[in-house]
Formats: sequence, C-alpha cells, structure tokens
Amino acid sequence: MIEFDYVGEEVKQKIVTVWSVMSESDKTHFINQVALSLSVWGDDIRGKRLVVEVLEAMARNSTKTLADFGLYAKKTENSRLARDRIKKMQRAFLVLEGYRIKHGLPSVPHKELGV
Amino acid sequence: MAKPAEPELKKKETVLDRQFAQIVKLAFGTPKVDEVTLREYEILAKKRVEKPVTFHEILHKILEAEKPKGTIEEYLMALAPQPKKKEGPGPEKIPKLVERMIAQKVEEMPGLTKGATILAVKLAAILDLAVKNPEKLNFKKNWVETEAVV
Repeated sequence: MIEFDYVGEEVKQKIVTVWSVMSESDKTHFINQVALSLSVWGDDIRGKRLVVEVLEAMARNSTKTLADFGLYAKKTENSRLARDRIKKMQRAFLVLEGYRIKHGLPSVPHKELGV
Repeated sequence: MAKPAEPELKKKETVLDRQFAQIVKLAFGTPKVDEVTLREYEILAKKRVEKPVTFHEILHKILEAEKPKGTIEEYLMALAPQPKKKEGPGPEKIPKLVERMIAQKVEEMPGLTKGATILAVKLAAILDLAVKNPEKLNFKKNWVETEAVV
C-alpha cells in the first residue's frame, strides 16, 4: 500500500542522510531557523507544510546541511500555501536573514559538487 | 395456601436494582474510572449497602434478569457515561527536559513563540529517529498533522 505523504521516498532519504552527518551546531541553527519561520509565518498546518516544502527544495538542490534552511526559505514565496500570508512570509525572510548575519552563517548554500 | 413467589422476588430485585445503581454511580463517579477493578467494586459495595451483599451477588441478579449480551465489563461500561472521543491524533506531552530546553530557547531568542519552538524541536527529534528507521519518516503523519503541547 502506498502511503500518502508530502515528500517522496528519495527526497526523504536525502534529508535523513544530510541530517545524520550534520554537526550539533548546524542542527541547532536548523531548529532555530525553523522555529523562527513558524513563529513568523504561522505554525498551523499550512505553516508546517511550508517548512516541509523548504526541506524538499533543499534535498532537490543536493544541500550538504539543513542549516541552510534560511537560504532556501525564500523558495516557498511563490508556493500556493503562502498565498494568504505574503507579508508574513516576507517578514520571515528578513528575520531569517538577520539570524544568519548575526551568527555568521554563509549567504550561499552548501551544495554537493556534481562531477 | 402457598404464597406466590413472584411478587417477593420482584420486590427483592428492585432493592438490588437500587443498590446496584448506587454502586455503579459511586464507582464510576471516582476519578480513576479506568483503574476501578471488580475487587474494588466489591469493597465499595460492602461499604455502601447495609447488608453484606457483594457486588458479584448483585450483579448476578441483574444479569439473570436482563441477560445482556457480551462480557460483564462491556455491560458495566455501557452503563457508565462514555468519554467523548477526539478525532485525529491528540496532543502529545513533551518530556520535562525538552520542556526546559524549549523555555530556555524562547527566553534567549526574542520573537520565538513557544508553539513554533516545540514544533521545530519535534521535527529535529523526528529526523533523529529517522536516521535509525528511515522508512518510518512520514512528515504528514509524524509532524504536519500532529499537535504538540507542553
């Protein structure tokens, strides 16, 4: 039986693999950025699905760390889930940018290099 | 001339019925309804009624008269008020240690809401678990459609 989920098996596997090799500080940055996003754009079902969309975008882009969450959050701007909360989303992007600057996090994503 | 037995029996049953109703009310009125066992019913029955009639004796009479289907427990539960069932997954309790961690994080980072922080921590916990059991990772079921409360 195929169980309905928002994310495909391959993408999930990528997310888990990346998570398993992340440092504790990167994990903390990920938690903080997810918490900030949900605090600003809302922690209802749509808000949570937006977080999952960001994770999906990161996996598809072969990210090396989920601590890049703030850099990918902007990719959800045009999501249909974000339609009714554009202003909140924009505020969240600013807050995330501020967080990354404050903690000296890079402004370009960590990516696996294709050969 | 022999006295007809039926009216006497009927009278006796009525008394037992009342006692039984009192016992059930008393038993199901206790806070720990689920933990009340038949033995405890017996103790309650002895305390409640003047004559030393056990709960089983009373129950036996009632069962004889009513002949209910199913087990004794099912019969008793049918008499008791049923708690309302919630739809979907219910709120989940957060361990004390995580609760303290969340409170600290909310204090350190202005702008964070408690609910959002709980969800972010829970997401990390789900990912931690998924490292051991990747096939069990289901964002919809494990995270998006669940609610976490302290």
